[in-house]
Amino acid sequence: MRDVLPGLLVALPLLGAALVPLLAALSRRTTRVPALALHAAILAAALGLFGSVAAAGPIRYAVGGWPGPWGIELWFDGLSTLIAVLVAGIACFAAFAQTFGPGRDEAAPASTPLREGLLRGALLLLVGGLLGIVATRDVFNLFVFLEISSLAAYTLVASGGGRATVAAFRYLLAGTAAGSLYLFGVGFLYALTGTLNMDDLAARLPSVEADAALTVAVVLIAVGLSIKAALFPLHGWLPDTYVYSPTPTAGFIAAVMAKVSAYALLRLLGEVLAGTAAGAVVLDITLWLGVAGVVAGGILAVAQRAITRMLAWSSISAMGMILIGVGMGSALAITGALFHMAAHALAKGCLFFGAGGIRASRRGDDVEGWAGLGARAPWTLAALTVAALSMIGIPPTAGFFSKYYLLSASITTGGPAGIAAFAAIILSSLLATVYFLRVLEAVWFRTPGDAPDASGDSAGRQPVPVLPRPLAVPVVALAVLVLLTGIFARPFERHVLPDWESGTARITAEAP
Amino acid sequence: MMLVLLHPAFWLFIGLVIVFANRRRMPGMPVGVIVALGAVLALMRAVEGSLETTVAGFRLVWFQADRLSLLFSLVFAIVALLGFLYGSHRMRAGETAAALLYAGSAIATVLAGDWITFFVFWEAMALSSVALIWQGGTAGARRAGMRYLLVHGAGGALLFAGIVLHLAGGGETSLGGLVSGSPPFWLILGAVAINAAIPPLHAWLTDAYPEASTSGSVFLSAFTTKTAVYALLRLFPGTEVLVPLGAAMALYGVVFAVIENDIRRLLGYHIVSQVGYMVAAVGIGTPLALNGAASHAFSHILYKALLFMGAGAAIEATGLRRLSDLGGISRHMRFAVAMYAVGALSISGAPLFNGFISKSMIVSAAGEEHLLWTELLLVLAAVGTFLSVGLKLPWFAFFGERRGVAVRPLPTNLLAAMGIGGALCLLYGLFPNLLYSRLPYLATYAPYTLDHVVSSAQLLLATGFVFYLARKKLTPSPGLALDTDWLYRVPLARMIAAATRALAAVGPVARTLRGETVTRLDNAARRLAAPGAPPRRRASFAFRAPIGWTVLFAAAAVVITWVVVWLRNPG
Amino acid sequence: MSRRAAAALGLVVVVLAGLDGLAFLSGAEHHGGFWNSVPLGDLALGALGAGLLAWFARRVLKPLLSRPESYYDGAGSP
Repeated sequence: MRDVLPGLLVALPLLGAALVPLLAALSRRTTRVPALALHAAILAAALGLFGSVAAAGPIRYAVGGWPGPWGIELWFDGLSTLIAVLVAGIACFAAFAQTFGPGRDEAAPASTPLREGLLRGALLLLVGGLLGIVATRDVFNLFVFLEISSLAAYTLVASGGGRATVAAFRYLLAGTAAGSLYLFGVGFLYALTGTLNMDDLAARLPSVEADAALTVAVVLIAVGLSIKAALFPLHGWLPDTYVYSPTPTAGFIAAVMAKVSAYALLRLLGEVLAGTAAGAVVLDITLWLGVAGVVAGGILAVAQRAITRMLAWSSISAMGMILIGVGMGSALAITGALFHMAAHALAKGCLFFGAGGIRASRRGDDVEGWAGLGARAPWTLAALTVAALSMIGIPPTAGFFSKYYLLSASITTGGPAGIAAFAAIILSSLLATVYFLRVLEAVWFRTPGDAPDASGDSAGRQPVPVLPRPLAVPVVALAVLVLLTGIFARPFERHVLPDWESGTARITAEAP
Repeated sequence: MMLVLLHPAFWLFIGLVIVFANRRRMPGMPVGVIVALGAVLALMRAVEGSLETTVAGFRLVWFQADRLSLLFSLVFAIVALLGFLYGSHRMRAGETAAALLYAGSAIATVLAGDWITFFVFWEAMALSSVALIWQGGTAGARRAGMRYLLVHGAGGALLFAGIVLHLAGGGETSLGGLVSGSPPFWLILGAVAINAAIPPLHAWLTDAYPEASTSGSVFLSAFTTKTAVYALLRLFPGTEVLVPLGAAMALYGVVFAVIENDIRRLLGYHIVSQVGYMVAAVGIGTPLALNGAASHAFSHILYKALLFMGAGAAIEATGLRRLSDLGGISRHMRFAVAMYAVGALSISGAPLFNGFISKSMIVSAAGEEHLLWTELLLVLAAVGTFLSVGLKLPWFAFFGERRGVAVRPLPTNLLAAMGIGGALCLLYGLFPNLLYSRLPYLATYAPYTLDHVVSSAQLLLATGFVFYLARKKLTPSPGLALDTDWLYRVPLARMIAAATRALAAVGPVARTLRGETVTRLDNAARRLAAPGAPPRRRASFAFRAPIGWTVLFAAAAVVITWVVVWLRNPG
Repeated sequence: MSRRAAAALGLVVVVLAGLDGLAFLSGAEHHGGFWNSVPLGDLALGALGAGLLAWFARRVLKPLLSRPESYYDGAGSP
């Protein structure tokens, strides 16, 4: 199994991305079964790898049998398999929502089997790109996967039509700038060291430490990836993209897209380039920008009227939190950052599926439109409440433990940076309390007034459910996962931490 | 599994599940009364000891029963029972659920043996009490609840920060072990001070409690502040700064109560005042003082619930909540007024009532330690308490001038709850050993000495005489009195509004993009998607982040690096 | 105040003073403050304290802090 799964994990979605549209074009029939089967298979592969790594240690896989540093290598340890499971798992929910979805948003063009097939292919392509970023051990290959995932994401976002098109265009501008900067950086690194393999790079970097070009390369890579990871103030693409995307896409992108880039940033800056002087400075700056992002994102989330936009700004705050962890760089901080990736991905996925669905069925995105929904759909709203509580950081949800780890890490880090991180995380909890409880109050304690309601009661038709079942299922499932992740925080820590410590130790040991 | 049955909060949480499952079919009330009775019975059988579970690597001591925690949880369970009985004619499923969660979390907080369990239920208590306030159902309740949430969110954050610091500094997970004067000590003390409503952190209480429903404020009066007193007793006994804070607090509440017009806000100020006695006693820290704090918390919960029930009865009967609107209604609700009088005499520390047996203990403890000023302030606060709760409120609300207020008859369950509450106040007042035998610390005290009885009789008599002379001057008038909540309701709110405006308007680039480019792009996209659709004059993108800034910042970062590198390595 | 009520009040005060003296003579332990050691000291303290509190609240605090009921409406508060 260990010999096959790594290749399968990356190859399956990419092959599927080609096959599903082809199938749709040839058969002119719906492709829901093969697409869903593929997603399930990808998740199974990711889970298999996760289990295998947990049981028997990290896996190094040479693509096509060419060993590194010449060939492309894939690398699976506790960190990467965790993110892979997250990506594959939430992709399943997104595919489920996309397949049985609540119909299109009003602006989107009419649906045909071919169009559906193309969009399913784009989702698979996006998953493939993200899994590639997670798995690869080659910096140029990472760029390729970054572009693959970005292109697929632009397509999916733009498929919403109307404003989503503009949002996708803006996303494309930022994403292209990010990709180019990263590629320049990789070019510098290659010119300096003559290698693209991460382990090889880490080993050769000390010999070129004195070269000024190394600093430029580190900064280019960091800025490029920071744009993709929505590090404040490079977050410009994020709010509109999250708000105007079609719901299944928004749920998926909001959950994992920026996080995978943050993961890449962690791999490159925290592991490969951490030994360089420039890398250390850039990590410090990342930490401080993370602090700024946590605060600014939180304040602007409070200022929002529209719920999805509030969620988007809260994501910027959360990405700041993850990058604080990356910036601090201690094993505890990395655990916190990864755990926050998981906690936030599950909770934000849940919230975006829910908020998008409710926006579509009630034709309203403001707090008033949600008044009294708790009485009409208690289970789905209870699930959204769990996700919101996790965002605030109420135990025993997952969000509590990620904040707990990050706070502990900021104490051990100490100094002005540690204090700032500590204060920012505490403040973000407070701001999240304000902006989420405002919504929860409307949901549970107000009676629906004359809020715009698309349920058609007055016309005597069947009332439309608050949240259509294809979205309610992911929402409830994700909320359960949020709780489970919180309850099993400790095993998680044991799974991830040793791999990170041995990983950094390995690189330090290999350096001459 | 049988062990779980011993945990009183378990009963209330089971009630929560039952209420949720049957929320459409039956009102929540009988469930509340029954499960609260179960909790009381469970506590009757409870013995000292502790139970713990290891969940996912965390050792959670979810049941740590000693004399202190059992005393608090017993009175919590009793007052929950009274509250559910009191409100059973009108409480709906939502309010019952909030009250069950609130009471259950308060009991579970008190019985928690480790920091994590303690924090979990402390937060659950904050959230459920907000839910209970929101059940007041008015716009005023909604806004007051939001403010309450803001303050308690800050309190929870302080507590969380303190716990994390404590654990990161090598502290044990079991509750306690704070090093006096260390940062976690002050952070956690700050969090507890917010919940104990120590001025200037008290305004959430007097702001929000009057906005809840009548039964809601009975619950609210009992749990949050007294859980904080428990936390002070458990974590901070003998912390000297608490003595002046507590004494000042006792007087602060009393003075504000004299000019207050809203009957439940007046009683709220007296929660602040009475908790001041307990805070001062915790600060004194002798066994007698700590016993005094614990027993005063016990007595206070009973008579304060009774007082809120009395005020609620006036509101239930007339729909009015201001002293300046009420008056002359006692003929229509004699039993309720009589029970209110029992509560008022208790809080004033009149002999034979339960306030006397606990309040005099604290005053005596201050005297024994020769804390003259503390004792004097506490005596003055007692005088003021009788002045406003014992005389002013009943005089202007129940007696006094008849204003032709329409009075509805009161439901039996409401009167029954008041009757039981009054009986308990008298029972403990007449047989102090019922309470003293349960006290946690080793100190003996005899309340009914000639000295104690005569001095409190003199104080009450003098106060009554002064009220008789000054009653015209004390006539309440409409209006509100500013308190420290002004700080966040006016200046802070304005500052936040200004900050968001500043963040939203990030300069000319943002304006251009918002006004021109995006509108054009947006309209182009709309035409593309739906030919013939009318163009929009302006895209209504609120608070957008301009993409130009992202690129600008990225470019700036690269250029600055380039320049720095070039300057350092010329050639 | 009627004549009878005033007489009753006077009687109560006399009885209290007597009891106070009794307590003092019996040598029972006094709790704390000097006002306990003086016959009718508590009575004086109570009258003084209640008067002072009422005066301070009505004459100082109320003019300072009193606002109309609608003060917070539209103040931009949450």
